[in-house]
Amino acid sequence: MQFDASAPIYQQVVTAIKKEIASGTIHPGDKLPSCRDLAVSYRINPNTAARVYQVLEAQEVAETRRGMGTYVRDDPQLKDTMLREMADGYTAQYIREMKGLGFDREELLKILAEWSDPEEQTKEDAGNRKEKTDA
Amino acid sequence: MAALLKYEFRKTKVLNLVILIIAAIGEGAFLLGSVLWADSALLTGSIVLTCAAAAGFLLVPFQSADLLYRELNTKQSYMLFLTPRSPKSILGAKILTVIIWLAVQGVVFGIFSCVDAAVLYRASGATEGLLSALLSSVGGAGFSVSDLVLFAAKIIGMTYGFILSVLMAYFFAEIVQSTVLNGRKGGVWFSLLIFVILFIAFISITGRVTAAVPEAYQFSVAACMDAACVVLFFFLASSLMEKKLSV
Amino acid sequence: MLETKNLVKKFGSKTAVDDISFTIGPGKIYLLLGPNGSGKTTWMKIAATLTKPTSGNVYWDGKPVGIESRKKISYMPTESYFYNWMRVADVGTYYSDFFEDFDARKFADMLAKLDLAPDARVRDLSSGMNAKLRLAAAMSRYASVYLLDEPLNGIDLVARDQVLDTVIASMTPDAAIVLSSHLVEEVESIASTAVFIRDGKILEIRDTEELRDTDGQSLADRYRLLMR
Repeated sequence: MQFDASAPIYQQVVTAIKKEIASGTIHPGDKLPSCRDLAVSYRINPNTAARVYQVLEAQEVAETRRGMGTYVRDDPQLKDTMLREMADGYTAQYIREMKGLGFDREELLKILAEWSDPEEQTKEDAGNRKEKTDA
Repeated sequence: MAALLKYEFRKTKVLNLVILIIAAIGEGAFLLGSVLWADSALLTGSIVLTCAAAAGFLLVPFQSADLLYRELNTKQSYMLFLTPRSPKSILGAKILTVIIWLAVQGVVFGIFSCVDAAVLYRASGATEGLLSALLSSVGGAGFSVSDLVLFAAKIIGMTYGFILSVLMAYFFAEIVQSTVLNGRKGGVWFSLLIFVILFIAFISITGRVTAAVPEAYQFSVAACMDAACVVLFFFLASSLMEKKLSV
Repeated sequence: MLETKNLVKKFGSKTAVDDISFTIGPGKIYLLLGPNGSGKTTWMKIAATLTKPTSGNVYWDGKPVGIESRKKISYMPTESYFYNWMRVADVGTYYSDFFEDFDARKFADMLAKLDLAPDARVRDLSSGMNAKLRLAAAMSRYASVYLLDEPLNGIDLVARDQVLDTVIASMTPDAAIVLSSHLVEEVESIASTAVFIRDGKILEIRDTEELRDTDGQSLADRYRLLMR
């Protein structure tokens, strides 16, 4: 995983794991890798890996079972909670960036409406295709 | 110590095996010559044996000194100095290896010379009187077991004493060089210089001491001085290695 | 655990290490960051007992580093140092013979992972392969402190990942790993603590996540700031 090295890494791994829960890659009740395995797979310091699990536990996303390891909390609502959290996060970022450029609320909603319009689906696809060729 | 010895032997075995093989070939030629009464074989055999014996004695300590020099002055020094072994063990292993190889050569050449002497004695019909004269000309006495043992002890003592004290002094000189110069140029000359100074000092001291002692004791005194020299330089060298040497 | 107190090392008129003091504690991965000639290698060699200090010293368990500390400290030098007559497997045998904490099985596994043939001759190895061998030898010991001098130098991209994985996997709460590297960006995610060193002096010692949290800087950013 490519990190933004100027922001706390543990935070980025926490987010990555939440994303996996939100997208259904990991399910509630699944066993998470050991600290050591997590450190190796993300290529991070084992202490950082431990901190990731501490934070996930504090946020009631994961729980440590004595002698068995760390598990995703077996909560059927968890996926939706994570989806909402991811959505809020992306949206807040989007709004922050757009406001930083000077757009106000009305303009924001107008642009979003354009992108959400089924007729405008082709515009989005074109945008996606452009992004791919740019990258 | 065992591990150190294992690798010291590994590093020095090629030269020693070559010497022993050449000696064996020489001996083979000699024995063949004596059986077939072929003069050229006898002669070649003896020359090869003599050269091998002389070369052997010189090359073993020379190789040891050269090996230490390379190990002190190249990155291969890390191999020894990263291991949890004291300088005393390291130097001790090196000297012990030299002692053992010289002993092996001594035994091998000793056996060869006894065999050859017996062969020659029978073939030449030489008298015991002639043999005694020959023996005393190289410092031996009579033919009794105690005489021969004393003779052997003297030869071994003198050879080992000389070789080991020289080698240990040279080790010390190399370590001084490596400590002081730390990789700068002129290492070989510097260590040679130090060695020459030590050597001259040692010879003159030994000479003066043995001259002041009655002849009967001269050999024992010389042997003690050699031993003292070995011990002195061993402690000086290992202490310098431990405290001041950077590789 | 490994304490450096007022360490000074001079080579003639050049001061390689200029009165540095710091402590290496267990359970962390330290990154020594600094330009060439800043004193990183000299410090490591002193801690590994290969070089003797001019004044001050490095202390292991309260005692100056020496024969006892060599049993607990595993050093990976930047230079090639194995005997020329050795094969790769012989290096493992040598380490087994001299170090009680050497794990021959781990060494064999690492050789396989790093694609090193056990019967290859050391003198035939490329500099990159030699570097991998040096790393395998150093990391196959169960030491208390690992000192790795530029472990990624000369190593290709894929192998670098393997090297970093090995470093991470070798960390235990009782051991410390000290790496020096120029490739700041590649190693920064695994470091707990960064030691910035220049001209033989320590400029700063920072906890890496704290640096990111408080100052919003990566190690690379901080390095550029301090070393300009």
